[in-house]
Amino acid sequence: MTHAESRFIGPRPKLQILAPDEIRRIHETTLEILSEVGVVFYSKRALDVLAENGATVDYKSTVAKLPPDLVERALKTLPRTFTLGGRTPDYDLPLDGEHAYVTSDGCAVFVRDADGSVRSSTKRDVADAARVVQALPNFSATSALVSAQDCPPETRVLHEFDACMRGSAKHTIVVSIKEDWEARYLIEMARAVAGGTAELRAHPTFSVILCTVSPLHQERFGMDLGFALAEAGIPLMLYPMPILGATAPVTPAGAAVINNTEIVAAITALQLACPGAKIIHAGGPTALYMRTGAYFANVPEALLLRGVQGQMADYYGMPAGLGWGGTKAKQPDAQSAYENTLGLLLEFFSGADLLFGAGLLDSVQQMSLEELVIADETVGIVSRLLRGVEVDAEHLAVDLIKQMGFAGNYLFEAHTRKHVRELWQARLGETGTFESWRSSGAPSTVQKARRTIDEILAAEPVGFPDDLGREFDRIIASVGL
Amino acid sequence: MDAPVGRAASPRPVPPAACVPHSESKGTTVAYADGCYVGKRVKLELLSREQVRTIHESTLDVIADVGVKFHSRKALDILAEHGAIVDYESTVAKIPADVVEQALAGVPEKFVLGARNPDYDLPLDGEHMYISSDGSGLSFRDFDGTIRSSRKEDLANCAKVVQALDHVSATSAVVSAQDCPVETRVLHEFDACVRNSEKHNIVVSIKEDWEARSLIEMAAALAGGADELRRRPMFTAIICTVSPLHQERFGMDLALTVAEAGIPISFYPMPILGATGPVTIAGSAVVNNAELVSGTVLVQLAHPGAKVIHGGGPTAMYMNSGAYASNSPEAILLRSIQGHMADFYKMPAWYGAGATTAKEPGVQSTYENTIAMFMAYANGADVTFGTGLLDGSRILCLENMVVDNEILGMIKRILRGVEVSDETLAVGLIKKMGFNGNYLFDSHTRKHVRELWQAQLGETGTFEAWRAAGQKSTIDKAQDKVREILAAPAVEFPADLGREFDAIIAAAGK
Repeated sequence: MTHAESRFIGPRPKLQILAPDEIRRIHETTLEILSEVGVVFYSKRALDVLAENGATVDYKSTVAKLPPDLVERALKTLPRTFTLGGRTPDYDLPLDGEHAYVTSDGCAVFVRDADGSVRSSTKRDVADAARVVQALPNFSATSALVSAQDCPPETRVLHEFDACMRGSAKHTIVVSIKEDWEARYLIEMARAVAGGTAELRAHPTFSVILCTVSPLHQERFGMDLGFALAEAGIPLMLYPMPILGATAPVTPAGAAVINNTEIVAAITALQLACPGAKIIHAGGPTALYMRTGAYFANVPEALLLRGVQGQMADYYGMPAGLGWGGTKAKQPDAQSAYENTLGLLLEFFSGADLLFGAGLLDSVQQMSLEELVIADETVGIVSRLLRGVEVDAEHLAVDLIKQMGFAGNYLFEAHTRKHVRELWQARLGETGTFESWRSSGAPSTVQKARRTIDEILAAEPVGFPDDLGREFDRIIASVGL
Repeated sequence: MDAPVGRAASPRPVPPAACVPHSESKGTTVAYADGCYVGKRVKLELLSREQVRTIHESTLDVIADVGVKFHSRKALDILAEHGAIVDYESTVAKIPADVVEQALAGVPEKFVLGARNPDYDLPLDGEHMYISSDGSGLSFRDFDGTIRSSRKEDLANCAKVVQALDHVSATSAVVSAQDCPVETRVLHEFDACVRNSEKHNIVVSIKEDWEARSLIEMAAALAGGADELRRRPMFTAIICTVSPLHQERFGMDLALTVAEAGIPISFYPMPILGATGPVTIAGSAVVNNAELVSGTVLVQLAHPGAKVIHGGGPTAMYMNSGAYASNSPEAILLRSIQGHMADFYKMPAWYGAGATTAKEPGVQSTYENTIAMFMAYANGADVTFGTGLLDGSRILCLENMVVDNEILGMIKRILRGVEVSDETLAVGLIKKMGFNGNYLFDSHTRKHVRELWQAQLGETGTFEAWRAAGQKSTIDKAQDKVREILAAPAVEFPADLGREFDAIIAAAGK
C-alpha cells in the first residue's frame, strides 16, 4: 500500500458551519472589498500583471483594486486537484478531498527536551524531527519544525531542507523563505531529488507557505517569491493570519472576509501571471486575548474561522491546508491535548486535505517531539471517524442479528472474523487493565511517547542516496559564490 | 405551603459571560440554562436521511421478526393488549411495526429536567448542551494517584464540584457509596448529591421497585409535591438494557413505576461491537436502536406521553485484550448515530461520553474525552453522560471534571457557530480601516469583544510567567480548582428537608 492509500478516507461527513448562502455572501463581500478597497501588493510584477488585466493600480501605494470579473476569471484557472511529491513516489500525496494528511509545524527557535529543559534549536533537531515524522504512520510531510540556528543565516533554509530530506522520504513544507535566491537554490535541490525540471513540476518535492499581512496586504516579497515558485511548479500555501480584534474585525464573519480577501487577491495575481499555478488555501487566524494582549490560536472563534476557510476552499474548488496546533500550553499535557484535538476535529470535518502542523508548544515557540507522537495517535482516531459509517446490507447485518437473536456470542461469528481487522487499534493510549498499567511502571502518555521517540531515533534512518547527498552538499556550498 | 420545600435561598447563578449570546438574552431573568444555550447548532452530516430511515426500518424488522426479551410479566401483558405476539415462557415479545410507530409518535419532543433550585432547570429541546457527572464507578483517585474504594463522601464532593462548574449541569451517582448499607445505598447516593448541589440528578443503579419508590418520595419532597415533581422531575433514571435484544431483568417494571411518577427515563443500551452486537457499526446501531425503541414503546403504551430520552453507551472491544474500547472511533461513531436516530424520533438525545480508558488524568483522558464530547454534541446530543471517571468508568477523578468543563465551554462556543449578518461582516468597518491594522480601538471591537470566549483553565501567558508561577501542569491547576471548591461551604440545604430524607432512608432500610 502506498502511504497515500493508508491516508484515504473517501467522501467524508462534513460540519456545516456556514450555510451555502452564507458562504456565497462571504465570497460576494470579498469581491466588494477587492474592488472598492483593494489590496497592497508591494510587487511591481504583480501590479503590472493586474493592471494589464483590468485592475485599477496605484504604483505609489502599491494598492490594486480588482474588479469582480477579473477575480472570477482568475479563479477559473485554479487547479482543483494536484499531487505533492514525496522524495520517493510511494510518498506522493494526491490532494483531492478524499485523503487526510497532517504535517509537522514550523518554525520555532527553542527545543523542549525530554526532561523539560529548554534550549536553542539546531540542525540536528530538524533532522530528528524529520526522522520521527518519517516513522509515524499518520504523518504525511515534514517541515523545518525549528530553525537550524547553528547554520549560517545565508544557507539556513537549505540546511533545513537538507535535514528534512535526509531524515524522511516524505514531502516537505518550507516555511521560512523570504528571498528569491533561497527559492532558486531550493528548487535546484528539489530538482535533484525529483530527477529533472518536468519531474519536479509533476511531483513537487516541497511546498511553500506564503503569508499575507492583515489587514489586506501581501507579504513584502511574497508575490515575487510566489511567481518564482509557481513557475517551477512548486505549490503555494497561501497563509493569512488575521488576528480577531486587532488586524481584523473581532466578529468571526468579518475576520473571514479579511482572510478570504487576502487569499483571493493573491490567487488572482498568481493565476494571471501563471495560469494553473498550484495553490492551497491555507491560513492560521488567531484571536487577541484581551486581558494579556497575547495571541490565541485555539480559541473557539479562531477554530471556527479555520473551519470556514475549509468551506471557502471547497467553494472555490481548491485544496485546503489549514493551520493546526499553535497551542499556548507550555508542556505536553491536557491543555495541548484539548486544544490540538479540537483543532484536528474542526478542520478535518470542515474539509481540510492537509493540516499544518503538529509538534510545537507555547504559541509555536518550542518544539516537542512528544507532541508529534501524541498527534499521530489522535490523527489515527479522527481518520477513522472521517471514514464515517457504511449503511449497507453487509454492515447492517440484519440476517446475522436475526440469526443470533438473544445470544450474545457475536465474537465467534464468521461475520465478526471477516470485519474485525478493520477496527482501529490504539498504539499510544492505555487500553489494558489498571493492574497491568501499574505493574509496567504506571507510565504517563508523555513518557510512552518519549519511549517511541527513543526507539525511532535509535533505529536506522530511512535510506538516502549518496549521490543525492553529494549534490545537496555541492548546491549549499555554491551559495554566495 | 407558601414557599415550596427545597428552594434554598442561594444567589442566582450567573452564566459565564462569553456564553450568553448578546442577541439572545431573555428579559431580566438569566437562568443557568442560558449559559448552555447554543440555538441551532453546527451539525455533522454523518448520515443521510435515507440512511437514518434504513436503520429505523431495520429496527422495526428486528423488533417484529425476532422480538425483544422483556423479562417482565407486567410488560408482556401490556404489549399483548396492544397487539404484540407474546411468548410468556421465553418472555419474548414481537411487536408489529405499526404498534411501534404509533407509540413512538406519542413521545414528548421537549421537556424540562428539574432542579431543586428552579434556576438550574434544564430544558431538553435540542438547543441546549449539557453534561452530567458520569456513573457508576467503584474507586476514588486522590490527587497523588492513590486509589481507594469509593464512599458516600465522594458523591458529596463530586456534587460540590458539579455545583461550582459552569458547564456541568447535573450530578449523578458517579460512584457507589460502598460505606453505606446495600439496601439503602442508592438513596444515600441521591441524598449526597442533592445536599451538595442544587442541580438536576441522574440515578443509575436502581434495581428494585422499592428503591424507586423511596427515591420518588425523596424527590417529591425536594420538588414540593408529586404534581410539582411530575412537572419538574428532580432526577432522571438511567435504565440499562442487555444486548443483544434483552431488557434488563427488572428494567421494565422499574421503568413503569418511574414513568408513572413522571420521572424521565433514559434507556441505556450498551452493545459491544463484535461481542454482543455485530462488529460492523450499522449492525450494532440496529441492535442498540431495537432495545431502546422497544423499551420506549412499552413505556408509552402504559403511560402515553411519558418522558423518554434516547440514550445509550455502546462501546467496542479491543480484540487482543478483551478490554472495553469505549472511545475507539467505532464506538464513537456508533454513539453518533444515536444522535441522528433521536432526531428522527424527535426525542431528546443523551449518550455516553467521557469513558476514557486512561488510568490517570492527563493527555490520554483529555484527547479521548475531547473527541467523544465533540462528536456527541456535533451529532445532536442534548446531554452526555458524563464527566469524572477514569479507567473505563471505574475511578472517580475530580480534577478531570475541571478539564472537561473547560473543553465543553469551548465546544459549546464552536457549535454555536458563526453569525453572518451586516453587523458581523462589518463591511463598513473593513472599508474604513482599509490597510490600517488597528481594529483594537474601534467601537465595533469594543462592542463585541466581550463575546469572545475566555480561558478559565489553560495557560494564556508567557513561558516566563508560567515558570515563575511554579510550572504547573493543566492537571495541577485543575487540582487547585478542586481544592478551592471543596474548601468552600456547600450550598444551603433546608434542615427539615434533611430530616425528611433521613426518615425515608431509615424506613427504607427496614
